[in-house]
Amino acid sequence: MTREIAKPGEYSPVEAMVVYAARFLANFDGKKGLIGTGLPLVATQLAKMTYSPNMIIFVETGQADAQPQELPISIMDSRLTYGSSWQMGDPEGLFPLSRNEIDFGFIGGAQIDKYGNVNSTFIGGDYNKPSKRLAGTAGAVDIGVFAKDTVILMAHQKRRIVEFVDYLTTPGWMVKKWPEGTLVRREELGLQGGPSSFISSMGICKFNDDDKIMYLDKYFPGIKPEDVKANTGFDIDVSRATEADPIYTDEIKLLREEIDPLNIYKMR
Amino acid sequence: MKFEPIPIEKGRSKPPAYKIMTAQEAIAQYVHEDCYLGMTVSAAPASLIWEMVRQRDRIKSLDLVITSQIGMSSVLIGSGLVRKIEMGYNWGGIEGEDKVFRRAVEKGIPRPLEVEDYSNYGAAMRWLAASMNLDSIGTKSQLGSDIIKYNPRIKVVDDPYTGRPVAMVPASRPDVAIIHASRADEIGNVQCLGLYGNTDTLARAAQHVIVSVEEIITSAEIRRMPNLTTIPYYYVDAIVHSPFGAHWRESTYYYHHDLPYGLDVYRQFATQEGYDAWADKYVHGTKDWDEYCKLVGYDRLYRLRLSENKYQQFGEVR
Repeated sequence: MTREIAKPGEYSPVEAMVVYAARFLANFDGKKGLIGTGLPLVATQLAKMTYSPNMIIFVETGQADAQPQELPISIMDSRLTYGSSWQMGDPEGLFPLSRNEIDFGFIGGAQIDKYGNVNSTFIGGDYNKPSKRLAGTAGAVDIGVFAKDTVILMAHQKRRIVEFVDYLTTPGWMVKKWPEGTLVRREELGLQGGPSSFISSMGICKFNDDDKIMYLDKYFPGIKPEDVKANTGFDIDVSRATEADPIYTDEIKLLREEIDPLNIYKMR
Repeated sequence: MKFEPIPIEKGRSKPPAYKIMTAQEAIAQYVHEDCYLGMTVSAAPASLIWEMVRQRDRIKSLDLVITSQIGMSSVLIGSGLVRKIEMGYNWGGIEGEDKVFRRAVEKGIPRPLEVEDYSNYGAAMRWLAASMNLDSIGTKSQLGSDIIKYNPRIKVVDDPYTGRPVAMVPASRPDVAIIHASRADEIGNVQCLGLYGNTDTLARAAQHVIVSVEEIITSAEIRRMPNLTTIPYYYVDAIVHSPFGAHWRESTYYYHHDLPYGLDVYRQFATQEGYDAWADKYVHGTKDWDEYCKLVGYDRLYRLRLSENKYQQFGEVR
């Protein structure tokens, strides 16, 4: 059966982001992933139904080896508890992370910088008088510190993708060494892993092997590398980027008709 | 026989006495001005939160400690009760941005809110430390993060054995813990079905423990499956019978998250006037949880129960 290609405009940028993220998770079929709340749950549900059926789902509220029959609305949703082979408490639910048992973590955030550091605490102003206070980290710091690999999912907007985050919540590649606050490679603090990829609504970014600075690896159909450059808050290298394979109508159909028919996640 | 609470020192056990009381009695008895209040991450203790808001003129001010919370801390924050929050996450989850929290931190409305950030791991380890009667505990989580810069209570030290850096977090010992769980007996043995979060460590860490439950069951039923017990009676001061006591949030095996109601609440929370109107109607306008449930509608609540039972019912064999 040949698959019908969906044209840009027949799906939203957020749907594209979720579809490419689900495809990306094929790299982790059979591996253990700790999935953050929000859109990572949606991409995981799609991946589990398609490209990564043997992925082993953990969430920070302690559900392990989860097999949700329907899309959970949060990590505390009982849809994640029923069908799990193990329900842990808290902080036990995070022990698999700190024991280095988790192959990849999958998180969202509000702001990311060229080193893959993520901010989910506040934007603008200062900590005690922020212009915009955000949710706080929850388990994202723990995922970024302990997982063998981290995948980050976030809509592509100039103000979100910056030179350096306003507040470094989740450590990426260049992190702060306290008490001085010097910028060091994460390995210096004994942290393994690190973010391998940032999937946005415009493309997929990776990090240079040597200086760990973000570059554009793939851009989505209908998007030009210049568009990515214009919508990024630092001078991103797009010279190595190629166009991603097209999106198929069956992927969008699954998202719209089976996974989130009520558009609870406001993807469209 | 009514259980007459006796003043106890930290760690002293409570007797195997009859502990069932109303939310009004439990909150009046244990939650006082400047209380350091702990709240679990699992099912939401909504009926107890509502009662604290009703008694806010007496309580006046609270310092709140949570790991992650959706909605519940903001019901307290919007009422002006919270001076400080120690937390990993406080937001609206699927319901979206938490404007009550934002207004308090950014603009000091209805009162300034001091925030002390931790990661979920760091926050949860604090109750674990207290439950083992330690003063602090170490984790590699939070290393490399600005959390350490802005939270002077997290100390990075060199591990005395390996010399590697470790972030020490202080034990958290709440004056009062409020918890919602599945079921309990009359003397306070508490069981959780499904998600149980940090009900166990929080109860061990706190001086007084108030638990609201969906069902009151016999002690014989508790003893049939003691591995479901997350809190033994001797930590517990009060059991409050609150069917649907986590609404609008979910209670595993009992009922599902009321998303339309939650979305509506967050729409109203967009302004302080909206919060006040919601609280006037649903909290101050009802004298207890049963009246609240009637206002929301028991037919609606039973539909949430059916929606949960679609997946699984406790005790069902498949």
